[in-house]
Amino acid sequence: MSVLSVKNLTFGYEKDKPVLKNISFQIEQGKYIALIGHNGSGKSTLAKLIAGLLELQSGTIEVFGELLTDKNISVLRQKIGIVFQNPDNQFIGATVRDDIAFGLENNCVPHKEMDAIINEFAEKVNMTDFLDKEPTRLSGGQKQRVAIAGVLAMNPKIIIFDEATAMLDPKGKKEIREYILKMKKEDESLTIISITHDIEEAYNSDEVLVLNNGEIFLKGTPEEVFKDKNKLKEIDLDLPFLMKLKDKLSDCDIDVKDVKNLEELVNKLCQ
Amino acid sequence: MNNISIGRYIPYNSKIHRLDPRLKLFSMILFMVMIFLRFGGAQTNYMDFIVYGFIAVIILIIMAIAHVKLSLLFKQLKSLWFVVLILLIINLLMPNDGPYFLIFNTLKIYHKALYDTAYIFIRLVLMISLTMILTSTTTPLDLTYAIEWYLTPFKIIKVPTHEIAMTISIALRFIPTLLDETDRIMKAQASRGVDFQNGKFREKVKAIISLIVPLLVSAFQRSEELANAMEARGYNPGAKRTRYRILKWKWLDTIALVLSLSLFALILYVSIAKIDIVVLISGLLG
Ligand SMILES: Nc1ncnc2c1ncn2[C@@H]1O[C@H](COP(=O)(O)OP(=O)(O)OP(=O)(O)O)[C@@H](O)[C@H]1O
Ligand SMILES: [Mg+2]
Repeated sequence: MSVLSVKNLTFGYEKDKPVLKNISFQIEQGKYIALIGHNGSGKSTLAKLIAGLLELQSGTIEVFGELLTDKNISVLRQKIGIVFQNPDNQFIGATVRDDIAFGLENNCVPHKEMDAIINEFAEKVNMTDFLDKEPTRLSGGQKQRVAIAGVLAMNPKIIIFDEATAMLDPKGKKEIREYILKMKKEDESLTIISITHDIEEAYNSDEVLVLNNGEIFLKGTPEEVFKDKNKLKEIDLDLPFLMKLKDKLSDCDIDVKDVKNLEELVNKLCQ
Repeated sequence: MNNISIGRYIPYNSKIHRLDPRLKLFSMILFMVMIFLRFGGAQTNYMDFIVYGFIAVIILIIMAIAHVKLSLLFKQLKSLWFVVLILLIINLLMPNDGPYFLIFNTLKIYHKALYDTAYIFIRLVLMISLTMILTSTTTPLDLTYAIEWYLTPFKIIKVPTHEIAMTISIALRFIPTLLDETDRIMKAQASRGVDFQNGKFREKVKAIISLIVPLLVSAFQRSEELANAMEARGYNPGAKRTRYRILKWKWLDTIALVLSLSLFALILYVSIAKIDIVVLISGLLG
């Protein structure tokens, strides 16, 4: 079932300067989508349109088969969560507890149920010990974990990560990646759209969407997208490490065409 | 940037910490009013000091219960000596009459000048201690809720009390973040050769501008992202929402309210009836 269907979407912040040009695509439920593309290619703009934070100009967006309009925006928005890049600018509450509660308050969750929900989702991202801490006393990675808990607590069906790990150090990045994979495992039906500059992450996703200059440049499974290396070179996108390695090896006449991951490659080479 | 301890919440689980913020705010206002009353007759001035001493003792007791350290108060008072000096000079220069003593046989020091300075100084110290007790035992957020509660009657005349409270709490939430940022920008500009300490007036203005402009740009950027984050999580200013933090009035609050009201009544009576303890006691002794 397609949870998200975008048709002929065109959008610009200023007149005659479209940032997105006639974009159409569909996303199936339970998929992990990587959205890649250069700075300024319109990825965040697309994310904001999907999350209903920007007003549609032309084209349509369907969420769970329902057309996104001014009227149902607040209902459909409950199905879509978004985690932004800057850990500081999405921390709204005075403490971790209050921040997770913020979304619950907006969704009119009864007061009595809030504490249980807050504890449940703080536990999921390992922030139970920090529930009463203020944001200034948390690291960037911890703040992003809180942001994830805050979004998860609202029980969305689609979660968009807009470069959610871009401001973190390698350890923080890895941690957040693990939490995302964990929650994906816990709820198979959850659909994830990850906007990223990390080619390896894109390579490990279910589907890749390459945006260039506001247009969909390529889309498909990672194998399909990264197979087309000349086309990717056209827009200066990097290739995943495995692909590069395979290329070099085939240049040396070593046949590694059908290996899928690094492990298989190592095994093959050791034979 | 790091020594902003004035008005900071100090986590502790004392009885005072646990009191309802509405009560604490109300009591503080009562105390402030008490401090601004005048006591005793026009001729005697010791009654003011006796009553202030009495209030000071009560404040000290509250501080002890709240585990607010005296050293914290002294730290804040340290910056006050300059104010006292100016007060003293102004009072000394004021035309006065009444008893005085001479120094160097020329300078007339009126008793009243010293008395007025001491009077204002004591008031200041009392007010600072009161605000310090309030802010160090109440989280800014709780204070915001208390203010929102007091503003509720104004909802009738369409004052957006909830939005005001939300704005204040977000401002409070972002003060430390913006201070950090100020620090960072200052360091960045200093490394580019901007001197914030020395230099002529013109250079100082330039330095300040080099701080303010990036700070404002980033604040606007932040506010836009924050608005997006709030909206994405379903915030809608006009819409109905439930609340996570609910103020709960407890027995202890009632007791504290009765105590502060009685104290207020007592002090008010002493002030209005112009009661003079010395006269009272000597009368009692026969
Ligand atoms: N609020 C705005 N007002 C005007 N123009 C904007 C605004 N936000 C983005 N733009 C412009 O729209 C274009 C696309 O921006 P967008 O943020 O969607 O890119 P992006 O792909 O997310 O880039 P990045 O990888 O840097 O995050 C850019 O040229 C940008 O300058
Ligand atoms: Mg972006």
